[in-house]
Amino acid sequence: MMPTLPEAVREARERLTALLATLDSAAAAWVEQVRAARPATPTVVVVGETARGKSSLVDALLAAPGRSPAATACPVVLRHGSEWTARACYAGTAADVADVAVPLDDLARWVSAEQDPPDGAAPPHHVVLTAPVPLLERLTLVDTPGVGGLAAAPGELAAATAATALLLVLDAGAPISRGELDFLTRLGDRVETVLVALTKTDAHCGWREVLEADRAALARHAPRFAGVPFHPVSARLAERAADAPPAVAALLREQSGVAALQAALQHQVTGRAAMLGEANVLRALATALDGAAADLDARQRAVRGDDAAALRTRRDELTAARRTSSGGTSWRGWQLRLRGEVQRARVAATHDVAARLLDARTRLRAGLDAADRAGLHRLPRDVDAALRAVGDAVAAGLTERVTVVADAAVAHLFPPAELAAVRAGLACRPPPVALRPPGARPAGADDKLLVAMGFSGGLGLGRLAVLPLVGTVAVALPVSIVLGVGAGWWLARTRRHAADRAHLAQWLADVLAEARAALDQAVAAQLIDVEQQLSLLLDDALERRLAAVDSELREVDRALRMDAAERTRTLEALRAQAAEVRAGRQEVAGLLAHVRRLRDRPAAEGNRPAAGGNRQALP
Amino acid sequence: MRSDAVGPLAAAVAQLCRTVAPRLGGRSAAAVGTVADRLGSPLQVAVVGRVSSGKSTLVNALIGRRVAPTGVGECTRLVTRFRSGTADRVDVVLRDGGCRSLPLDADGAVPADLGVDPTAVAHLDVRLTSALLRDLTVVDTPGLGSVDGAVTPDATGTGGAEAVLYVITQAARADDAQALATFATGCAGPGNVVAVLTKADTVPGGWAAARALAQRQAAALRPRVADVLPVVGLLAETAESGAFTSGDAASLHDLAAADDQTRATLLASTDLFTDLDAPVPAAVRRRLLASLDLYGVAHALALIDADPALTAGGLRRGLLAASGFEVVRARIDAVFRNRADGLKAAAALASLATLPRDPRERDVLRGAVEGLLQRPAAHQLRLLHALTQVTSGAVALPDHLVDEVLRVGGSSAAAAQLGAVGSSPAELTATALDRAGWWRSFASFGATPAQARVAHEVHRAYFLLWQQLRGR
Repeated sequence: MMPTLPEAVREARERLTALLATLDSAAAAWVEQVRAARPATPTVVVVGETARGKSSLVDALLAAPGRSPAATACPVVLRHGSEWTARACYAGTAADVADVAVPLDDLARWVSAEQDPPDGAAPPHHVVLTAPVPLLERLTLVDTPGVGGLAAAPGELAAATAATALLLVLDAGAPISRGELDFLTRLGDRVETVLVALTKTDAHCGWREVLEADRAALARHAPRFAGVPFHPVSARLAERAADAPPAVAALLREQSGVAALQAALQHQVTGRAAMLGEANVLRALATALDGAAADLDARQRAVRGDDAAALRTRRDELTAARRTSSGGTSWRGWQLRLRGEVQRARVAATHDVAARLLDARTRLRAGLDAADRAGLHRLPRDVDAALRAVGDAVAAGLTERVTVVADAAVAHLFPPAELAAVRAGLACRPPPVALRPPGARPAGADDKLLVAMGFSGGLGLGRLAVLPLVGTVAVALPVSIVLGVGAGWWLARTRRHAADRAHLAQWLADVLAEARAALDQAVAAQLIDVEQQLSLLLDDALERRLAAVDSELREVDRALRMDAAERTRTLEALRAQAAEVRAGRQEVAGLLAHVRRLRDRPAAEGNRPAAGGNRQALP
Repeated sequence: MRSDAVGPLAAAVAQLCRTVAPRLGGRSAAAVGTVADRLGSPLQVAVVGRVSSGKSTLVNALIGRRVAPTGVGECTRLVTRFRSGTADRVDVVLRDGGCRSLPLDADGAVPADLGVDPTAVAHLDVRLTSALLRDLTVVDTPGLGSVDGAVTPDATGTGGAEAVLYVITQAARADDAQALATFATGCAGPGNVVAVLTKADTVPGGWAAARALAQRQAAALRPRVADVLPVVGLLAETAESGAFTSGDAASLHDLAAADDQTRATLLASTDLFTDLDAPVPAAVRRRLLASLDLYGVAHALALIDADPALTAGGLRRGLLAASGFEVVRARIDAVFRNRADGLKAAAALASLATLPRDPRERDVLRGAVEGLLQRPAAHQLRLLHALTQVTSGAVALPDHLVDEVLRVGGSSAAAAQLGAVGSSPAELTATALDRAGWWRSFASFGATPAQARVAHEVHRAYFLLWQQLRGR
């Protein structure tokens, strides 16, 4: 009987960890640590165009009809909690901006686009809701504002990039439009699992044809999503089932299709999250096995006695490199090079910041010039969204650049033959580079800008599993820079000045100038940190490498004293072990490739559409 | 109802074309000739909107026959022109200039199989013996935003239409606003776009909510759109095209006899309506759903509850009233039919201005057009030109003045122009004189040169209106 993928993964993992333990106990311990770390709760982000019924669908999934107000304006994060509470959160974690507890009756004013928050407070970055709903124990739901409306917000949905799964909401009245298809392609590339819900099936009798047309359109224009499961639902029927007499309620609930969607979410999303957690462990195992294989090769070389002279030269090189780094008054070689790379990255990042802010300024200025009264009132919201998008983009670019710098430094210091061992060594080291947040800015009514930096919480689980192993140093440096319009935004809304275009233009220029300064400062601070930590890291790697070369030389000396029979015996044993490790490494690579293939074609796990209700008579 | 004769303004522009054509080169002369021919034909109204927004259904309701094929999903893929003719026939116009004729199919609709490769077809020309098409030609277009084709607003044939009926469902979106902006700059003519909010039965909250939504959309889309009217397209099509039979009425009476709980469950969703056990057979219920949808059935049952002896004809009238189509038709009459003369003339002038490439020929044409506009009788044309400038934003005016200019230029009934429907003639006369004076002062003292030109036209419009009211 063919074992299923999860079983095969588990069995391979256990076997290979045991093998690793016989060779290198520290590495085995690290792999166990990775496995023991509990994966975070998977997130499902509900996206779609405006007025498609996303919020009603979320209400139906939570069995809490009527909770969401119309026209969502900011993302709503739904987590598990012992009771219903709501919190309005602002950008970043700076100490001066606290979360505001929101009474549930007032929720509409904070979340809806048609109303403003009370007491002149700034609109929140997102709202966190906790609810005692069983579904939320296994996953977190995020309800997002719709795209493509008349008051379109510039910038991408940052929440979607860190999501485990995407739930796209389409209308049963019309086939998928080009705008929605482009939207799906853009977002879906970064997310492993995509599900599609077809809402309002109660109102349109031809929804089956629309579903087929949607499926055909996806197969033709977005083949990556060709096998995505479709779920027809009707939030209105689910709502009516709650009030109907029990005889009818069961029928209505079945027709609404909400239960099927809940089951699919739980099964697919949590199932896949577990699978991706295992994939993470597999990655760690692969790195450790690489290191073990390189170690065994080195020992074989030592026993055979070749390259003894090369080894000695290498040891001298490493000792020289280490000596210059500690206690030297002038830095040479690799540290200078590292600093140069970091400076180059800083220049590139600053240039990026300037370009993006100029782009945002042109767009916002054009919007301001062409805006009517309503548009002028909306300006602070637009500025907030634009700044948020710029912050996200800059952070992403910074992460990429820092990874490149780290790779280049490691590659400069160690030749390719040693990279496997070095990476294994680096991976075992406890926590990856942490970034310090800036000191809290003093709060004031004139404070126009909120800036926060820090860990974004890591790359999405899925991305780690599917990144190619080659070329990635095992230091994860996820950066996040969150920008938002601060409490001072209300200045723009003062009744006297609300319609004064000149005043708003001045305010806009001020805010953007401050944003530019803040971003430059953030980038500089991060890169200083990066340089420091990377130096320490590489120093450590140098030490380990030196120790490894030393031990290798000792092996060589010992092997010289061996006689021929003993030498052949030792070689045989080492070769057998190396072959086993290599075989294990191949197996892990095969399993990881399988997981990656599953990501691109989630069709394997049963995606037949939920049948649209049986023919039943009322009792 | 207007007769087939060409109105005075269009006649004047046609005369202009005929005098200027001999002075131009071959190609420009031919183009001017086509413009002149267009002036003699009825006003062309293009129905534009997103995929599956209900355009073909609305076209059928306007024509009074189920000619355009409708269905779930993308149905119309070619630009189809419906005009009046002596016999029913379909002309397939190919891209290479060839033409084939086909008869309508057995149901009286455009045949699905055209006998040629669809990519080789430029557009379809359908001739119908319908009285409603005598002074209006309706152009049905493929939907915007389709995944299969890159259908840009220009390519849908609105380049040739003088008026646009823009169809939105649920709410206007960003690409709707973009498409309307393209019309404002590209399509000749001002204030000639009327938006319709179809599938008004899907707006939660009933008819009042639909009307409120339509008003909000109108506020958001003004001044590109004259107004947004809610309508239930399917009901209008069924009631106007004779698809509602006495058999349907009898089935509805049978359904009304069912108990309350059954009725509530039947009306809960479309699947339940066809699948549940009920006194009426499933096939009949499917037919009712296809022609009336849940909203129509619910309304018909309510009508039968109120008057159990209601006849089939009474039901049909009640359904037509529930669709809101009468308001749409009245507005189309007011905005398009009654102003067809001015709209056609303005569109022709705009296309004349952009026609020739040779600068010398362009000067000749411009000179002739200016000469026509200088004449006092061409006041209507100048007013329409002013309206274009205001609606496209070329001349900036405060919002309330823009609304007033739209009101004056957007209709030909005195009361509607003055925004004082229901006032006595004496009040209307007084208002007209007062506003004429105000605009005169604004033109002289309070305006930039561009605004002054517009203000002068509006003043003259009020003045003529006052004279007309006084002379009654």
